[in-house]
This record gives sequence, structure tokens and C-alpha cells, in this order.
Amino acid sequence: MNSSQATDILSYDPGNFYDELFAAQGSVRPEQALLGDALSQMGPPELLARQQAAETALLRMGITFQVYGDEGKGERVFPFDLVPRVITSPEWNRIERGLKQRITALNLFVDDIYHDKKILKDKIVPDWVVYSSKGYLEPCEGMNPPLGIWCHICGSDLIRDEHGDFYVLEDNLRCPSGVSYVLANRMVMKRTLPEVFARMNVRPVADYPDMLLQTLRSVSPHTQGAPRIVVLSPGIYNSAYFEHAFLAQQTGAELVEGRDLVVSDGFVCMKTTRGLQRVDVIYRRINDDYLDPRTFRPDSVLGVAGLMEVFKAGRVAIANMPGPGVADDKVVYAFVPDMIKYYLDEDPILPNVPTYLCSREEERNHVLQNLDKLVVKESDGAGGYGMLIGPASTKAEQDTFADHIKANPRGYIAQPTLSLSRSPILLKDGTLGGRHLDLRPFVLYGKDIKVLPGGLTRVAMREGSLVVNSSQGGGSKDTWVLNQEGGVS
Amino acid sequence: MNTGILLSRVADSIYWMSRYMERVENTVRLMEVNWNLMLDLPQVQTNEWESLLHVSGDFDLFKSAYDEINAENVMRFMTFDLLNPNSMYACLTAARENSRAVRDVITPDMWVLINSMYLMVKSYDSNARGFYTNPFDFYREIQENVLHFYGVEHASTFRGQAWNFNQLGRMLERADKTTRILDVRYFLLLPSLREVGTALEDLQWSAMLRSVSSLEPFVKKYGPVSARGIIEYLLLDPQNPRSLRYCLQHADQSLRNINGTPFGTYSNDAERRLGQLCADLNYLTVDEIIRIGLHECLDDLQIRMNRVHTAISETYFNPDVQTQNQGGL
Repeated sequence: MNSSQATDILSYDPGNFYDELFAAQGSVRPEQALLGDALSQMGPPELLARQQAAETALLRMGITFQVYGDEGKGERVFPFDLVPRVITSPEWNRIERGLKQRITALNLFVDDIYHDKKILKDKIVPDWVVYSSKGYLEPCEGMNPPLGIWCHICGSDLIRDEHGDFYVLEDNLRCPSGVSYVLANRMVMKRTLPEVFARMNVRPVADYPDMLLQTLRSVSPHTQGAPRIVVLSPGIYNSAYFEHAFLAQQTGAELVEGRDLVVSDGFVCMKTTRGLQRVDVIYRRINDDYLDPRTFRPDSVLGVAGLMEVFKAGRVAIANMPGPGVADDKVVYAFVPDMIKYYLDEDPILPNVPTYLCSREEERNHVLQNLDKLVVKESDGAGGYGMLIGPASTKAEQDTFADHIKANPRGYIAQPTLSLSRSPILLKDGTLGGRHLDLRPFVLYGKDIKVLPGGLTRVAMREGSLVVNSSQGGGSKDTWVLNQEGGVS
Repeated sequence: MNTGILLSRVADSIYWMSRYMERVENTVRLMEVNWNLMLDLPQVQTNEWESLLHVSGDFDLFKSAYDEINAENVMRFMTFDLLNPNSMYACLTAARENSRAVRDVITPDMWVLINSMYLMVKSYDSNARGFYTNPFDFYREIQENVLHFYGVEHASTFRGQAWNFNQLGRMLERADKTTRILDVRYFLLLPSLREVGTALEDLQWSAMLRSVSSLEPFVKKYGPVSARGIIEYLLLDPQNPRSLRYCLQHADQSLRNINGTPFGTYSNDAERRLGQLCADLNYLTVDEIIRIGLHECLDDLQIRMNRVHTAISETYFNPDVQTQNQGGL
């Protein structure tokens, strides 16, 4: 690096964290030297100008989301940071193998739970863990989805500790969202830092819609002609509506709401200007509970009455199936390494974050004595809500959580407060500041299992914050997975 | 890509997106022309501004919210006031909401244009920008944006059902606005219909033609401004892209394309009503219009256009409430 051109970025302090870009202060990781040089040479004014251009492009494209309880403010742009998060080829290969292993085991687990329950009979997972999970759906007992696949689209959340090791923080087997931001971020980044992007040999992500389409087609119950695929959305006021529309557009699927569908003569049909038309595959983006008021919540108006009967008759496929949410429960999560061992006879490639179950007395006591050190989460919580981050909490908050835990031990788990990795983001003054981040890769499970290279890097935009969720002010970065030969020039 | 079959809800949204965009353009054009006209008129004539309120049928709503009819109030009411469902901003918001509901069907460029336009208007500070003393640049920018949108749409939209519903909405909206503008101006300028106009009246007639964007071609074909010429040009001329006849013929073509129905036949009530209306217009003369009375004639045409709209809505947008004319699976 030419030190005479060095600007502010080399004064960036990675702190006592694993930093994604810097190996140490003033020293960019060798695989990312091109990126470091480019940022350094551009300097604050140019970086700020490019950041501004990227934000304007995202706003005009309407790449927004809605925060619940915040309807008055309408749509918000998902905050975006122009410094990409880079993952090297060897790192990625391991993640990809780990994710494939994990989804295979999770899918076998879900199928087992709704059929023979061998893993319960063999006492690997206790009965109560499964039957007390809110995601366990009794009506799914005995259901047989095409190819035995329950979890077609999965988005597990990964984090990195202070040594740079990846862990799985949670699995999202119901309706993981965020993939449209991956594609949009990439579109914008190719315009924002084209000269760096061109030289870094980054693996493309643009084929995701095609992979998704193939996955959805592969589970169609009807083999004659091109299957008609729909994306079932709650509508334009849903927080992820942009994504629903985007995926429908990119895959050529119809974007439908529950009111557009009806069960007629034993098939699911959509109401069109040419009358009712049969639907073969439903990529649903509404919750399990709402899918079919006759099977699940009777008050639901978002779903389709009679859908599950059509499914059982083998006349429509649903992705993801209702039911896998049983494994999104954080108590069930704690058993995923055991599932991998049980079903695949392999050791987990990607480890879990160590988890204490408050329903076990010994572990509960440990948690209660260490509330100031641990992160406590609701077993069925999501979106960064209902959490206690021990080291950042007050005594009063700890006491409240202690009461919650004692009243409902099954409802809580605890994990050590990991020192999440950080990456620099561009601050308002044009300098760089370190912020914590995670990674949500997307896995598609059809005839084959495919993993989109990279995924959504979510970053806490507030200094010191460990919460990366978009609903709580988190932003995102483009994720660059380098090709084998990439990164070094 | 499916073969141009549309969800009923989507057809509905596309139709309305198109109508609202056309309404945005018409409103802005009307405001800009009127503002221009006011600069030419000798003294403050509030009835010119008042007439605009009658074009959109919002006079009562205006009176309930504003004390005085003056340029600033009417411009504010017709341009930015969300209380007025026909204001440019309200129509643009509705166009955007409808396009948001069909983002998967329209092209990404179309969405970006509508959205950028909306964001521009939303953040526009009319007071700080001196809008009420010189609204010209703003109105021009909106018109250019709409035309840009039309260009992108025309150049990039797949000519399937979505396109036909889009064109149907636009042409019906345009036909409606042409008749309304003619109706209102006719009332204001009534005395001059059979006489030689004063210089002032000429200005007003010219302004009306400008507000439907067609003064120059009029003069080329019909010569000096005359009431008969204007009636023929705006209602019956098959070559004027804003004439009632032109708009309805194109709406008729789009409506037939949706079902593949040949001319001279019909497969639903919407096609029957619109076909009948077009046939009547084909054989209507200016003399006959004057004999019936222009206002009575326009009134009748508007009622019939409303019935066409209702029939389209019942045929295509609410398939639950009518017997289907096509098979299901």
C-alpha cells in the first residue's frame, strides 16, 4: 500500500474484536487489499458522495420495508453501508457444507416429528421439547410433502466470534426474508464501487431467482406443462412486501393475496380476468397459522379456506410447508447438533452457540445467577425483541427477566454474550467506525440443495449495539464471496 | 411469464394506476394553462379559477375548506391538498399505491419513475420555492415526468392483458376529462357560441384548447377558433388523440383485445355498451349536437361512459359477483 495516499481509513481502530476488513489497526486483511486500497484512495468526500448516490438509488427503487407499530411513518429505506463484507473462498466453502448438512438434518427431523417420531422414541430429543414448541402444528401429522421436503427456503443466522469462528445463531424455516436486499444491494454496489468490484472476483448472486424458480418447479405435483407458481403475500402493508413483489417479478410467478385464491373443484385456483385458473405451487410468505382458516386459525383472512385439503390430496405444493417452525423454537435449536449426529452420523460442521435451557433446573440456576453476563431470549422470539443483553442491562431489567424465567422456564433460553465480529461502516463525517454484524445465508432445498453465495449481512448501525434487526435500526451491507483465485492481485 | 392472464385484482390496480396517472397530467396541464391565461387577462378574474373547481367537480369540497377563491388557494387545493381526492398529489399517491400493488407486473423502470416522481412531490416545499408566484417550472416538470413515464411504458410493456387494461383506463380517463373541460368552459363562454368572439374570449378558447394540449393542430385544420370547430375537434375528430371519439375508439380496441372479441360483436356488457357508444359517435354531427344542446349532449355521454366503467368493473374486477363467461380449469 502506498502510504502517501493513505487517508483516514488507516486510523480506523478495530478494537478488541474480530474485524472483517482489518487484521489489525492500519493493516487490511491480505485477501481484501484491493478493497482497502480503493477505500483509502477515495478518501472521505468521495466515499460520502458514493454512499449518498447508493442511498438515492435504493430510495428511488423503493427498496423499503415497513416497521410494525410505526405505520404513520410509512415505508423506510433499509439503511445500507457501502463498505462490503468480504468472505474468502475457504471460509465460504466450509459455511456452505455446514449449511447443507444442517438443512438436511433439520428436514429429516421435521419429517420424523410428523411421522414416526424416532428421535423422540430414542430419547435423543425429549417429547416435551417438541410438543411445547409453538411451531409444532398437530394438523401436520402424517402429511407427505413432495420429495419429502418441508423446508424449501431456509435462512439461518450466522455470527462470528472474536476468533473469527462462525456459529449458527438460529434457523429460520418458516418465511425467512431478506434475499431481495441481497440482490438489490448487489445491483447498487456494482454501480457504487464498480472499479473495486470488477477486480475482486466476487461470486455472482443474480441467479437466485432462477434457482428459486427451479426449486419451486421441482416440487410441483403436476408434471404436464409449466407449473403455475404464485407468491402468496399478505399485501402491500406487510413489512416485506417489496421482497414479495420482487421475487414474483424475478421468477415470473404471480403475486397473489389470499383474496385472489379460492378452492374450487378440489384445486386451488386464482381469480383472473379469464375466470379461475389452477395454481400448482404456492410460495407462501404468510405465517403457518394464517394459511388455511379451516385447518389453522379460524379467524384468518389472509389465507385460503380448504388449502390443506387440496394439499393432502396431492393437488398443490406449498413452500415452505407449514410445520417446520417447530425447529425455529430456540429450545429445539439447542438439539440440532444431536439431530445431525442422529440422522446423518456426522459431526456438525457449523457449531451452535452454547445454549442454556431454563426448563432444566441446573441450567436455570446457572442462568439466574449470571443474568448480568448472559443473553436471555424468548424461546419463540424473533426480530431482536424480548431479549436481555446481560452486560448492557440494568439490575431492574435483570430482576424482571428473573421473574419471567421463574414463571415460565420453558419460554426462555440463555447464551453467553458473544463478542460479535465487526466491520467498518462509513460514518457521517466520512471516516470509518466498527459495528457488529451477522450473516443470513439463503439455502434452497428442491431436487438439490443450493446455497446462495454470501447472503444478507446485517449490521447494527449504532455503536456498541449487538442488535442487527432491521426493525431495530439495523442496516445491511453487500456480501462478497470471493472466487477461489480471487482477492489477491 | 404467463400468457397475459391477469389476476382480477391486478387488472383493477393497473386500470386505476393508469387512470390516476392520466388524471395527474390533466390536472397539472389545466392548472398551468390557467395560470398562463391569468397573466394575459386584464384584471383579476376569479371565475377562471372557480371554473377549474367545476371541471373536477370539487367546488363544494373546496368551499368547505377554503374561505376565498383565489389563485393561491385553488392552486394549493388542486395541486397539493390531500384533502382533495382529485388533487395532483392525491392522484399521484393513488397511482403509486396502485402501482405498488402490481410491482411484479409493471416493469421496474415504470415503478422507479412513479416512485421518484412521488418522492419529489412529497418533499417539495411549495412556499419555500415561491411556487405560488411562479408554478411554471414545477408544473412543467410534472408533465415531463408523466410523459417520460408514458414513453417508458410504451417502449417496454409486454402487449398482453396488462397493457390492454392500462390503455383502457387511460383512454376512458382522457375521454372523461375532455368532456368535462368542454362542458365547464362552454358554460363560462356560452354567450359567444354563436357570435364573433371578443379578443378576451378568443384567449379563453385558446387556453382551453391548450389545456387539452391541442391548439396548434386545431388551427392548422380548422383555422381561427370557433365554437363549431372546437366541438368537432374535441368530440368528433378521429385524428385528434384527445377527442372523445378517438379516445373511446382506442378504449374499445383495448377492451376487445382483452377477450379477443371481433368488432361488431360483443361477449359481455362492457363491450356492448362501449361498442354502442362508439357507433353513435361515429355518426354524430356538430349540427345534431347543437340541436340537442351541447351541455345535454355532454351530460348524456358522461352518463354512458360511467356505465361502461361500471360494466368493466363488474366483468373483470369482481368476478365473484357475476356468472363467468369462460371455463375454469
